Amino acid sequence: MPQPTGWLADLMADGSYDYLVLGSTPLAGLLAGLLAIEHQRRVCLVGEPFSPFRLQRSIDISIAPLTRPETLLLLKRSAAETTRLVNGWGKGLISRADPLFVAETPHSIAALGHFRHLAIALGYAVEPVADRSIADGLMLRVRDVQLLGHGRFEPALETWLARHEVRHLDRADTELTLRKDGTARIVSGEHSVEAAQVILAGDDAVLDDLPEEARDRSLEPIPGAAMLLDTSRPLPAPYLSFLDRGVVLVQDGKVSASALLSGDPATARARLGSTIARAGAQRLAGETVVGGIGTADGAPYVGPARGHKALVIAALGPAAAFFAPVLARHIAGVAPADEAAWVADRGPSRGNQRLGAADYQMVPA
Amino acid sequence: MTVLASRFPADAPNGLSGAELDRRQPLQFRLNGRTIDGFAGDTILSATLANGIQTAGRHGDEALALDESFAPLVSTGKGTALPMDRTPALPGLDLVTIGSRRDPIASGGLLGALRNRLLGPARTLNHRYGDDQVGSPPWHNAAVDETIEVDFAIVGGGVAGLSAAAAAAAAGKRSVLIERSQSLGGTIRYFGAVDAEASPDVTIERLIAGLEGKAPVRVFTRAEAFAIAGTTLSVHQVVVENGRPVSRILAIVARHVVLATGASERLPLFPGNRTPGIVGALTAFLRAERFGIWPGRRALFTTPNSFAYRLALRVADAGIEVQRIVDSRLSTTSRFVDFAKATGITLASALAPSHAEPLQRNKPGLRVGFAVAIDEIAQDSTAIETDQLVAAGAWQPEILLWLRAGGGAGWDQANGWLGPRGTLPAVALAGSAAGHHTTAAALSSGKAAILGFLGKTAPPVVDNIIEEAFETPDARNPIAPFRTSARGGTYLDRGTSLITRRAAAASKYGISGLATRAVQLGLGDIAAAVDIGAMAARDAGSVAAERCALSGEIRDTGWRVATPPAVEDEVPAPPSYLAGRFGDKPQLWAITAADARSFEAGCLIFENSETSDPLKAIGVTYAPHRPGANGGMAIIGKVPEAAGAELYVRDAGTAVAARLAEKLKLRS
Repeated sequence: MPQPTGWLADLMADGSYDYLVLGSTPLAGLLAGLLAIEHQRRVCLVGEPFSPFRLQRSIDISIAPLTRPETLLLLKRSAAETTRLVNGWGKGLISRADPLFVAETPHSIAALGHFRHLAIALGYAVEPVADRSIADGLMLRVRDVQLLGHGRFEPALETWLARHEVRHLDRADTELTLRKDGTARIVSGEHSVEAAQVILAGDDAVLDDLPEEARDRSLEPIPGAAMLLDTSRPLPAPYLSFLDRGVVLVQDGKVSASALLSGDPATARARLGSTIARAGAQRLAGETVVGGIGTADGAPYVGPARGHKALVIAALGPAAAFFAPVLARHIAGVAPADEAAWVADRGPSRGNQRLGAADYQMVPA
Repeated sequence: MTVLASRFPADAPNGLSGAELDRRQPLQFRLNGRTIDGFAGDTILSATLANGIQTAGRHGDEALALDESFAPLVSTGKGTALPMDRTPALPGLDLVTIGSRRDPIASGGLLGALRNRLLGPARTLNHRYGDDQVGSPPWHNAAVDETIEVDFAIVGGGVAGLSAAAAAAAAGKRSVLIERSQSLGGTIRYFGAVDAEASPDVTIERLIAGLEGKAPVRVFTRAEAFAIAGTTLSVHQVVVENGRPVSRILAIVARHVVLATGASERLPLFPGNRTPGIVGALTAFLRAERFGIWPGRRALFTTPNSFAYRLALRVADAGIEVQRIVDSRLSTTSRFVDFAKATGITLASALAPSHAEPLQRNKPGLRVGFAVAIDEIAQDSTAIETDQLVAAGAWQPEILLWLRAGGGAGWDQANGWLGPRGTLPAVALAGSAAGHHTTAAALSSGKAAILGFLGKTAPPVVDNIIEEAFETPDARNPIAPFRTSARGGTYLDRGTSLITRRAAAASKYGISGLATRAVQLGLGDIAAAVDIGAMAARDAGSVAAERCALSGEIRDTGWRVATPPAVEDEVPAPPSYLAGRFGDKPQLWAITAADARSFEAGCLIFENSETSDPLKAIGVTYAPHRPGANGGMAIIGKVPEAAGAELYVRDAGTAVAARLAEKLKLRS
């Protein structure tokens, strides 16, 4: 990560940053990079630097069981852009995968069924899977979607940001003052600089840096966990999402799998155990707490904080990183009409603004 | 090599003859078909090492030393898995090591006999290790044999633990003391006494006598506390029943827990650092002190601290040729250095091991190279052949149980180790696990932990390190200059993770796969990763909490997705994610299919058969029709006409003609 020595003096000569992007997920990095590189804005990214020894906090895939056609359409377009961008950095940073989505209750079966018909209409190859060894219910395999390669993507992202001189500061070494007018003061070492607009990019940034009272009423923290497993045999699919159990599993190697769990921490291990019952016991090689953000209506949130002009981007789900190009265009003010309308519908919960945005939310009861 | 060639004689001086052995009681047992000679008091591991078996197996091309931190489990053949280092050697046992072995018959039967005659007995257990993790011991998930309720559970039978136990006994509290090895006393004899301190033997004797206080302490040896939940410890103990070793699982339910788990000696980082014949200085001492083990008759010492000098002096006095003591510090002041000089031992400074390799495959002896260790300068010195390299390393407090109890950890820059952070309400650390350096601090911190829980004031723990003018401070863990051409893997630690320096360094660039490899890291791995710059010091505590703190397995415990109560409504409400999707006032309709099919929930409805753009859909099916009827229930925004109107349902891409059958109303 570039060190702050000397950079602030240069920056202060012509003012300040246009944007302070807060967040440690691929979404935050991609968004900061796109704003700086594609849209020529002055951007400072502040977040936790990547550590290859820490557990994977997000599993980023270019599809999600969404039920809004406009969201799926936008995601498809945005994911193609993201894939092209990341593929340009090098090989193996993003890979093709055929994820498997599993629904086991009438509610989730109906939602996943609807997703299936929408996805087919939008050109995705979606096929039902009848394998009772995995679960009972509706299982869908989506062909040819993209999965970010954890451990390989992050260093390449850092290199991309550094090559384009996008400042990336370690959150632990940076003091931030977020003001209600959406601006911020960034203090790193002995240097201090202003940012005209704060962007809280991702659930982690909202949970870590936005005061609770500034969260929109539609935003709800969701407890969660990340686990690393030593699997005795490969998972039945490289990416498995159990909608009703709040479990997402991804095969990371021949005998390794990462799991992200959302919902009640007290049942997390039991829920994970139920998904891999037929594979036998799995040795736990790592575990940590990873919180997330959901919304009351299941729709993503893109809009100002409550009583605050910082921009909040949250509840985008597993495909969050792949929305980065759309969000960057919106922030840069160059979004086409359909993208602008999509964002407008996903703003604060005042009035009926979000009525047309409700979506299926994968959180266990 | 015979059983005696790897041991000091019974009359060896300086307490190196094997205090735990009864040499009047020789015994034999079988391991992987090979006869192992030992004595009463041996463990399976000590007897195996004493029989010249120094290799656990191979990891790729690397031969890995058999070690207290890296030994396969053994089975008595009845499904029991036991640790080699905590299982007593008993006559007549017939054991096999558990895990993937390359040639399990090479040491037994006719082939084994032929091999032994031609090549000499195998010096390896012949296991094969891959990049996948060595599995957790089966007792981590075993049922509890006995539950014991106490006031204090003290983990670690070194001076800090003994001091805590003695204080608990004096206070009349019910206590247990849990110790991994066969005897109490820990490692104090390695470090010796300073100035006016009582000798280690006197100190240990006094503390053990103190266990018989107002309330005698129940002592469990060969017992390992492997998990802690709140203040309940899960303990695995090896006991002997009917002449056979068996596993026992104890649940110790304590009001308070004192963790006096000591510190481990880290592995110096150089290519070939786990080659058989390389041993840590503390381990070498404990093997000699407890079991009289010392392979070969010449030894090289390398160290970043002064304690290894003391060991070198003692083994030299016992007849071992100490070829050289190589210190990674530039200029060392120590009474031990003076003694070593006076004894005529060759000393070298500012050097650290640069590589080690076996002289010959499957034969004892190794060749060790050294390089100048000053800043970035790297210049090789002449390689030396030896029987054993005693490679001392820096220290790492053993805080795994502390982490498992929910304690914090962070990188301690001053000491160069991963140290404990914060406090826990009912769990305390003592001794070197708490980061203390001296025997005095170990003694007082053990006692203070108990008094603190009893609400009594304890004298402050004073950890007076000898002044630099008299004793040069310990250097950081030796690290060889990185060379891409180096032969032999540089492992970060002695444990089961088998992470190499190359893999750790490459992980920063996303090319090693370490980020997603399901290996449980050891504390030594983390410390080494920080030392070589593969991990930011600020991440060390978080990584330890995430990847060291847990044990156990994920298994099916019977949790199942709850079946929602049956919907009694004849017309179910459409799901919330369809809110606002088809206008402000959508209608609910029963629709029938022209080909009498039933539509699954989620099919898009269009005004005509040509359209398939989901943005132009006028409705969607959301529930099956009433029993006996085809089609389904739909939510529709723009209704073409009244009942009977034709529309088209896209069922998996196919347009199916349907009709509005009946307008539905929700009950409420």
